[in-house]
Amino acid sequence: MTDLRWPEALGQPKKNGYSYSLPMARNVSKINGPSGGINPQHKTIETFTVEYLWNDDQLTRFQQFREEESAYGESWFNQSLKIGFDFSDHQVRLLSVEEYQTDSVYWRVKVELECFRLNIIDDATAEFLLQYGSQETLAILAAADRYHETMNWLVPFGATELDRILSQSHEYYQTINYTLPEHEHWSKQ
Amino acid sequence: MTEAVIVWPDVLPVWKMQGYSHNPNLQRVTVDEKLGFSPGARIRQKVPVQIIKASLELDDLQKSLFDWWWLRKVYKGAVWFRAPVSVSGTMAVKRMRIIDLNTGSYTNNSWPISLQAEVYD
Repeated sequence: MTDLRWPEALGQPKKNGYSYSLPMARNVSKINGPSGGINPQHKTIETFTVEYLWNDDQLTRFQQFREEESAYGESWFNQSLKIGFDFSDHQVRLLSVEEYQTDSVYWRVKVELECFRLNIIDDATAEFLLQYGSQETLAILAAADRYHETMNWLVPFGATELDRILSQSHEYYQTINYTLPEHEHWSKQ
Repeated sequence: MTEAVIVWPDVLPVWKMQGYSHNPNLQRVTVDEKLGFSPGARIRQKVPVQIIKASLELDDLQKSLFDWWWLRKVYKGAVWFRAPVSVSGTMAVKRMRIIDLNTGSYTNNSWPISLQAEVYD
């Protein structure tokens, strides 16, 4: 295990160009019949291919992370990566970094990460998906959200009261985020 | 077939038509010397295995399910399973084993997967 984490300043990888490999059994082909497959290794290495678009500061931060914190790709670190529909923490290591390319005022950097274990979904979630499929699962999740909203907001407060609460919270948000900082600024002058 | 045989999850899509190919994979052994009007020819394989190349497009939830199925059910492609396959213009459920699998880049909120499989039956 490691405490080292991917720096937050470097953000998440871009959606385009993101992929990860799945481990593959070794094929034992036969000339005169169907082939077989064996898994000689208990652990396999999977690779993530990710792409980033960074400004100058972020690129400097990445170089610092690569050279000092991860010791030129020697150290493992934790990073939240997308597997299917889910983002989860994976223990990864820098496998390769392609040359930095400019993209208008940004730097486009393609990185390969190696990982020992993919955090796939558990058996219960898989059984649920096997039973209902992806479209129906999305509909069930949306219905659960509506149920949660109804039971926790609409039923206790009623629609009119809920509107009043939401408008109040909107006013509060406006005051805290826009009015107050300006007000402090004026008072300093 | 027994009940315990692994099947392709019916909530996953079947293969895309674009780029789908089917190879009967018949390897013939012929004699070079023509000793008569009909030179001897026979099929090398006792049980010919057909090969298909196919691709899939999965959404996020389907990809999560496929990853689980790949690792927990077919053990990284080591075992045979039953899946619908298009051979000679008709769809039929056949025994199949994936011998090559590639996941492409995440594009338009979907995961493209291309594979090569042996079909047997």
